[in-house]
Amino acid sequence: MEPVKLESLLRQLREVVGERYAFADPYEVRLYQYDASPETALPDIVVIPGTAEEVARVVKLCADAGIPITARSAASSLAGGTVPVERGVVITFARMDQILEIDSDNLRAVVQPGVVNLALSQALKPLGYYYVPDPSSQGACTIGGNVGTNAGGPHTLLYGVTVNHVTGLEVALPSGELVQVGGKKAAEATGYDLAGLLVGSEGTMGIVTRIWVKIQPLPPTQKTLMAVYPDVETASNAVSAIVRTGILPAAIEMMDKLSIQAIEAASHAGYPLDAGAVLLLEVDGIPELAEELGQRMAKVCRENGATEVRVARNEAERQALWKGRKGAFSAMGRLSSDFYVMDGVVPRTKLPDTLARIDAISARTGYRICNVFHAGDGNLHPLVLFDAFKPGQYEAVLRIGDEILKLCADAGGSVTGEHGIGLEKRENIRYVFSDDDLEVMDRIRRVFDPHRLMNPGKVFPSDGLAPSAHETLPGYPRRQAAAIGAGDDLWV
Amino acid sequence: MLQPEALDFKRQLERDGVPAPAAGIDMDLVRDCIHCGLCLPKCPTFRALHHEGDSPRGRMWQIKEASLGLVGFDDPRFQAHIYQCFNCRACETACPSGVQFGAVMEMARALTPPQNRRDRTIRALLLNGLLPHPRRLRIAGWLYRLTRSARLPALLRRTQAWKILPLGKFAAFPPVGDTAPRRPALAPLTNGLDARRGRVGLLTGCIQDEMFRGTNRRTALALAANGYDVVVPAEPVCCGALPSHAGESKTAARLAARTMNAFTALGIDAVIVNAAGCGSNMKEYELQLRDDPQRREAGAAFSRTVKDASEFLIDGGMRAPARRIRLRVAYQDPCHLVHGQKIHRQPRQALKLIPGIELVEMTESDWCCGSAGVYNLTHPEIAEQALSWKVQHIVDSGAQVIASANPGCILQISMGLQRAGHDLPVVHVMDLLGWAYGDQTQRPPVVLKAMA
Repeated sequence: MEPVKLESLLRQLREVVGERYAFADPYEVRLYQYDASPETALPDIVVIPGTAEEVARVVKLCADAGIPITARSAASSLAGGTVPVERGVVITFARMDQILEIDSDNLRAVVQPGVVNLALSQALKPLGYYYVPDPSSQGACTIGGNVGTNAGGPHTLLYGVTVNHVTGLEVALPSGELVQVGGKKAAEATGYDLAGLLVGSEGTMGIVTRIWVKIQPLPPTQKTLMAVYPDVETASNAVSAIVRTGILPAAIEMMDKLSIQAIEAASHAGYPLDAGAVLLLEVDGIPELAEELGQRMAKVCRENGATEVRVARNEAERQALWKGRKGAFSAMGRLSSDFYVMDGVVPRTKLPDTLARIDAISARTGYRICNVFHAGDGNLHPLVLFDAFKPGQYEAVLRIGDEILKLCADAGGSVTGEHGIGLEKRENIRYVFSDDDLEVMDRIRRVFDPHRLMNPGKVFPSDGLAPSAHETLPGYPRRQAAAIGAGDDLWV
Repeated sequence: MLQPEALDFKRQLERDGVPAPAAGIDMDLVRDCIHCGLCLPKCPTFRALHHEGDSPRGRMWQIKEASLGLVGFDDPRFQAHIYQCFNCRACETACPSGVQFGAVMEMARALTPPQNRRDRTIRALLLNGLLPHPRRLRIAGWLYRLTRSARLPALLRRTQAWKILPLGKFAAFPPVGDTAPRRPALAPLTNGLDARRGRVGLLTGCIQDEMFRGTNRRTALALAANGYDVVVPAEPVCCGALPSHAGESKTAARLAARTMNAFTALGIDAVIVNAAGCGSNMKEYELQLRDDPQRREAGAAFSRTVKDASEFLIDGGMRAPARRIRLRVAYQDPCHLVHGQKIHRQPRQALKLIPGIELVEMTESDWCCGSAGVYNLTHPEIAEQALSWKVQHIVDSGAQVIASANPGCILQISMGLQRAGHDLPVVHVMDLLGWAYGDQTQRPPVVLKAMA
């Protein structure tokens, strides 16, 4: 796109959101080139809209001009999902951070996409409710971003991921329409579950501007246990033993030795530094039940090789244990200036074997790999530590990542559990989907976004689609407005 | 304005290699930030301005790019974002990676003097022209007390003149404090009243000593009531906190050295500080003196002896005062105490030990009030926004008195509350302690009533 075109788009965008909230200053747009992943790419224009209507008008202006649009709010994304890899316009939700309604009787809340996950639960707490999905970044990540990636969190083991907690969405489509799918209703049993389809679409179909979520009463009691193991294999086997009892805890988390060291340096959570692995378990319910379940869990842990089981005696101790786990990724900053986090999934029974293989990769390549993960559902987060300023290291780490994800897929698992495909894993998606699968997905996407302008370059492999879709020209981009309208039905 | 040829961070480094970092920048500290974003919701300027460039992560990113020469330290946009920061360090508390944001910010500020004229004037007059000079400070303090005793604040309020005068709002809505001119300075030695537990030095400070001399006296009284001999340097010293937090590193280093000499000469067990900003600065002298390896070492050793007043009293087992104050008190965490020194518990415990005090928590007690050193002078619009949130949370808390532990916060919040028509005194934790230990001066009416 020639600069003149962008200048006129910028003028139009400023008419929608105001001078201050749309800018193309080359210095300022540099601040929207990154997220929490190691990837960077510069946008042309950044827009900070204040209302859903503004978002719809912004999306329409961009779509009409054939300019790619990437949504971003906290940009705590770990897979490069908010990095504007095909340039264009970045829409950020820093101003759309209001909780619009809390309807506790009907167990619903309505929020704008920029509401911080934890802020919603904090607002609900005095009323005795909370919003269940709790990604580790919940102190910063937003509900809008959670919808984009179908985010999980430790407590998804029992309660499900974001898609199980969203009942409706308002979405700005490239056509300029602001549509509502689903809503507040108790169950969307009628017709297609379109909200369910949009959750996890990583902004490739439309831009979510309003979200209806389920809320639920705070559990009367939560019992949190820490079990200490000599190694990850014993701990993994203990997880299977726990699940075999027929009791599903709300969360089962595992951290290996290297992670424990980083976490302790960061937050003094009280994890023993000499442990080979630590399991964090939580059960909840009415006090009698939680007490009973907690004791049973502790017993199973001990019978399965735990050298120590510690039960949090009060809320402060419980919070300390969780604080360590939730800050785990960022705590890696204590061990290394850069890290690359993966999000593979394996069947739980394959945990010990997969971890041993990852260990072998680490030994072979010389890169340190920590493991901190949702053991209950086999969702691994291997973190490869490296130094981005040393030439060749990032490329080597990408190869390691690729190898690990292949390993997960071969074990019958998947390449992402909750972080999304984003930019980072778009090639790895081939390990779980065939070309036919991808084509079907692309057709569905193009029902909403016929020209693949919404968060382009994400989710799908860079070489896997219609030839016109992924030209990544140096300098400015891909698509002339005039081309739009032609070849619409190439795929659909 | 549009530069399609510009490269993003990663590709530029791939093309050109990693440049050597700028002199004066410790790249290891800069690279501690992994840009995870966990700091964003805790940043007051991000909340006020909605721009990534005004978030802690965005500022770390800019400093990283500037350090590698990708953007210029002298770029006006860089300077705008860097000086728009409160430097409240709430992001440090939120950061799991252990980024020393305050230290990085001070390094960056030292490399880029502000271009904004208001900012430059305030630096020349206040940071370099007034604070380092005890005589000028004394004259300024005398003038300040004179204007107050001449009922100038009432005149300013009546005529609305405060709205146009520089510093008018602070002059028109002053905190509870010294009003009498020529009040004698703190006596150099306040004998421990009880069984002797040690000998401590008290930093009387620059602004603190001129505007809150009564608070210093009550701090000494609280220390004495707990069995400590309290000594003060013969000549009042400025520890260099305001210059250092604003990036005036030369002035800061000079004042740090002077402060260390003054206290080392006293032969004491600990240096007690009742101004959070000063305490935080004095606990980081190693950083201020980083250019001189020898003094750097001495700075680190000195810093280990520095204690905040409530930290020292509570950690040493504070004796509960005898007098009752029946008051509902909310505590406002000064940023440089809660984030800078990680002291959250001790001031609250000290307040709770006063018979009759009911401590209530306000929402966001650990958010900056907008005072932020000289920030309320250099960036009044953003500071006012932070202050308006603070005033609302204080009113909602239902407190009768606000306690804090830093002169800047007390001035700012006091002004904000009075201007909004709320008659809620803002005092120092040490004021309440001092009154509970028997001091009878300067008690605001609500405290007098609560002690009757």
